[in-house]
Amino acid sequence: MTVMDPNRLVDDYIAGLARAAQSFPAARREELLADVRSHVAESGATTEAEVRNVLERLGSAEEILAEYEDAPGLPPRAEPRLRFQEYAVLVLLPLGGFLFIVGWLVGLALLWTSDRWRTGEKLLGTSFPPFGYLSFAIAGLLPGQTCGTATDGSGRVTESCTGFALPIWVGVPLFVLLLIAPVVTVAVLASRAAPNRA
Amino acid sequence: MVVGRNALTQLRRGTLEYCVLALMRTGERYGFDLVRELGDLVTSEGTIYPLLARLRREGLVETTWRESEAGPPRRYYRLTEPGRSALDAFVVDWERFRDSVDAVLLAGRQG
Repeated sequence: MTVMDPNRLVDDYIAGLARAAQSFPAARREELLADVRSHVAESGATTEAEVRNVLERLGSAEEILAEYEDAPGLPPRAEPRLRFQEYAVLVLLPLGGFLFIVGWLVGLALLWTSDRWRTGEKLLGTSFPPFGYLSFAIAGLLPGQTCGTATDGSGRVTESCTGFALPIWVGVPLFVLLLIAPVVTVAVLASRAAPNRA
Repeated sequence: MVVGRNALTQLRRGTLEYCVLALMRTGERYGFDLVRELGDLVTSEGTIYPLLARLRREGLVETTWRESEAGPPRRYYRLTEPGRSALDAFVVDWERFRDSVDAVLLAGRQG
């Protein structure tokens, strides 16, 4: 065996470890290298034989790095709160009604088959308001009341109205409600969604 | 015996981190110090550092770099409250487990 400078042995070992850990996040790699350097320094090894012994006991780069990989007790990878299915629900519930109502029905099916929401939230999504913005549009398109005045032969002016109108104290709040309800529903569903709640 | 060695590796893997936590119960420790005390429980001593890094990520220990009286600065490890709870829970589980295994092994030997 050729005589090696003990410091050179340590440098080679560290360099090998750094190479093997190339794919690691830099912070994690630097931390490990600092720990190993410190370990060698603490060991007090000075002669070539002592340093070789310390490095051998540390183990190969593969053995050390494997400890990061199959480590027990690592938290499982977090599931996303919203998947494609949930995003589709959040779009189809307010707007799917305009796709010949079918879009809204598809949204409803996706809502009820998702595990991201509890039953109460699904009921909210279904009924507040039914058909999403389509209800608002229909309410706006309903024929309103038309009134006209007529003057009869004796000069009497009569006013007559046709059609149907809600009293203003019902109509205006209902309109506002239909306008904001879909937004509220989407906001509630988006904020409450989480895996395995159903 | 290959099977026996595997079983030992598995046992070591599951218990080592709690042995590390147990060593910190009486006060803070640094890596080399821990390795020395763990003795045969660590086969490749370098693996203690990924293990310590994991314990810190899980919030079971916290660390500080500090100058030592002689030599280079050391990274000291200290138990956190969650670390202490995890250790206490493991000790209870371990004692129960150990007793069950002992009972079965002993029965096997006598029967």
